[in-house]
Amino acid sequence: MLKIIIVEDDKEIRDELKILLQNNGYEVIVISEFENVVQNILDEQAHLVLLDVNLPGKSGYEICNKIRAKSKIPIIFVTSRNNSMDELNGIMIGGDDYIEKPYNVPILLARIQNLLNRVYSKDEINSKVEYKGIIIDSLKSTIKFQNKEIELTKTEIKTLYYLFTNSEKIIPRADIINFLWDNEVYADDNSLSVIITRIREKLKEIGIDNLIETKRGQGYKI
Amino acid sequence: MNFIKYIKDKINYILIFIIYCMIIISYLYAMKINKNAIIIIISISFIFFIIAFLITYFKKNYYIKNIEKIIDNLDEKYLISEIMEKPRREENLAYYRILQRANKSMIENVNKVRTSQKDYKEYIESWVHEIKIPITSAKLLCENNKSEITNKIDEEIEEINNFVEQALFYARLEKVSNDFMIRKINLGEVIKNVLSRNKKIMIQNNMKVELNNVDVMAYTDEKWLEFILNQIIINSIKYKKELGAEIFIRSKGKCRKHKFIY
Repeated sequence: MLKIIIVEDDKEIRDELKILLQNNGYEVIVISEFENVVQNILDEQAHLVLLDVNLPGKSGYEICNKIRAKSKIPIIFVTSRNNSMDELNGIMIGGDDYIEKPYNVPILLARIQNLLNRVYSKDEINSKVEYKGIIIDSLKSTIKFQNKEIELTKTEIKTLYYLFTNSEKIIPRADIINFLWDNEVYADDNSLSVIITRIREKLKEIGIDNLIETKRGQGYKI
Repeated sequence: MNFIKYIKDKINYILIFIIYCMIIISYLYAMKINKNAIIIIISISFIFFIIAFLITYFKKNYYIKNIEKIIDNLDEKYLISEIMEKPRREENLAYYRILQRANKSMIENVNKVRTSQKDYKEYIESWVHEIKIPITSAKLLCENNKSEITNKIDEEIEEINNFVEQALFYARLEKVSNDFMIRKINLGEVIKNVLSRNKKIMIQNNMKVELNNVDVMAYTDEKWLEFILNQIIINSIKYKKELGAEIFIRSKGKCRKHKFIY
């Protein structure tokens, strides 16, 4: 599992960020004492560092410098100051990316993912998701069941993917729409019904019936 | 300096000269001096008077015009007494000293206001920095504990965040040039960010989105672009008419100039 180190001053943010990243499948190490932060980071041997630029008594840039002297670990700078000087400094000191608070969560996750993909081998990418024998292949944009395979549109794949990753619970329509919006599909309530209908038709073509249950007034469940 | 008005100003001199002429004429006449001689004497006096009068006028006018030219070209006009040449004539010096005192007071005031404004802007920067921390925490809490209530709270927090960004924008308005960092960025990413930030309200208001050719690179300052785009989207949501609202975002590339059309 990919390991991420969080170097952040505010306890609340630290804790919540840890939960968020863990919920998204990462192992998280949190650093709350900044005395030997550089050494601690180097010791942990993680895959990525989220580094707050404004730490009490220490400069995030200095820390980055010292880390860079000994390691190429990807570093994402985090700040609430949002001005260009910070951004410029960040890049020049050797940071890989720069994110502002408050976090736009899907963006944060996407950037972490992108950076990790860039730096580490492609083995870590999981493009296939499986549930009850049905396999979604996001690269090929198809679903497969017992030797039968059928192509889905990008929107359908994304929707089904979301259902799969939230299986066994009732998913409100609003949540699905929110997820789609975060992934560049600007659907509304009506189009969601259409999408679900199409998915059901295609599922039927490869022999799956009644996978997606409609819970009136609440949402969908698989 | 208006010549007619200048003459009106010096009317005293002119009157005294005329009285002088009349006295001289009377005396010479009484002395039984030849009429032609009197005319010549008066004419000579008259000519010299005119010459002196005109020279004085032109010199003064020239002097004033020079100072006017300096102040015309001066941006901070209240610095005129520092910039202009110190006059040599006593009469002008008197006015100059008064001008100097007025300017000095003005400069002091301007500096006081500038410093005060600078302090205030620095305070705003620091305040924004601090307030982003609880905003970030709250958003993360909402993200990690998804429910109907936290979704609503998240919307409210996003609105707070928008106002905070506006405050920062206005505080930095005058020195935007310092804060600009132009880089090659993907417009699509920025648009995606902004739409994602506003998704909840947009979905609630049944807004449709159409993107056209936005996955392009452009040279610009990313955060200002995002800020302005966000403001535009927010305003369009606030001021839309009741029936269906649609947002079209298109990009148009023209050789080196990229135009962003909404």
